[in-house]
Amino acid sequence: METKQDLLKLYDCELSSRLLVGTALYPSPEIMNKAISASASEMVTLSLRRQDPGNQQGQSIWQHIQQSNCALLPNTAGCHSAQEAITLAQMSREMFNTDFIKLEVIGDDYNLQPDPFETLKAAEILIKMGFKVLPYCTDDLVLCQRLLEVGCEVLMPWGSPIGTGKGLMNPYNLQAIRTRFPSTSLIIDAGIGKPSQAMAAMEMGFDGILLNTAIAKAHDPIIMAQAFSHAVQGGRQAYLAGLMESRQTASPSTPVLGTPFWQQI
Amino acid sequence: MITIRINDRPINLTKNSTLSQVLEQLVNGPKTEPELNQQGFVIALNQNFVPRSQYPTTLLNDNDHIELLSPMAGG
Repeated sequence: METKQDLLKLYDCELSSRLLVGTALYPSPEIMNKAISASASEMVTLSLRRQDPGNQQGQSIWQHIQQSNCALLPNTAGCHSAQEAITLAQMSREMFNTDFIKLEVIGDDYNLQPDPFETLKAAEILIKMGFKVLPYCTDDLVLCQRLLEVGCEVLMPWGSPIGTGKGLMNPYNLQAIRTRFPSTSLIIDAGIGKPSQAMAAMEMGFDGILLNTAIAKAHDPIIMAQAFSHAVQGGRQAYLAGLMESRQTASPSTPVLGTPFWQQI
Repeated sequence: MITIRINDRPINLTKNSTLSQVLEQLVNGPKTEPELNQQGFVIALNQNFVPRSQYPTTLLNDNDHIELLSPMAGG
């Protein structure tokens, strides 16, 4: 049974839910709010975009996000350089009154792969500016090491490219990152398409899951949000309980002693 | 006259206009800092963040580009 002490630690913030969800792509703001509630998430991602001040559409989304009462994790989506990301992070801090920032610097538009060099450069500067940086990064062990060295306390390696739903593309790399940094809060961000994939990541020992499309684009986002919530909790419990070692050969679970119809010659 | 761009849209202004004065045109009249916060937008000038407290003293120059951003859904 999960105890109350098993909290997700993100810098000085502790959350009882290990599922973070995005606020984009939902059929309506009302369904978004119901899905967030069903997910039991306590932190949601959001962004800043160009809008006409007279346009009320963005205001409506913003009001609904505020109604969710979740902590806010603004992102720097769409940025292609450290400078763009730093400026957007500063704007987000003023708008949303939080030091938390999901640092996202895209290096290639084909697969929306994060740029490791610009991400690292931005992370170092933002940490010095007092931000609590959650970098979206590739599953590169050395990049993760460098991000920790500049002061990141949370890392968010991708499972697979954003919006693909392909799950954990490279379990070996992810396991290496988990093993190498046992005390760092690690969140799988992007690429999770099914609850089973989220559960697999949690069973590996990842601390949390951040996803958006898999819930928002489900036929029923509210039920899917519940499914992901259960999967993340189940995976966490399995990790804490300790998984058995896998074996190459069969081993009977029923005691061999006293086997009936044993042929004694 | 000078020409600036707001989110890539050109706007003509008189010389020595401040950020506050431009915003007054956009949001129908002068606004206090809390009102601007309520209005829900933040600004970068030529890709540099400008805090709300500096709007009244930030002078605009010809070819300046204002990025005017508001909260939006995101993943």
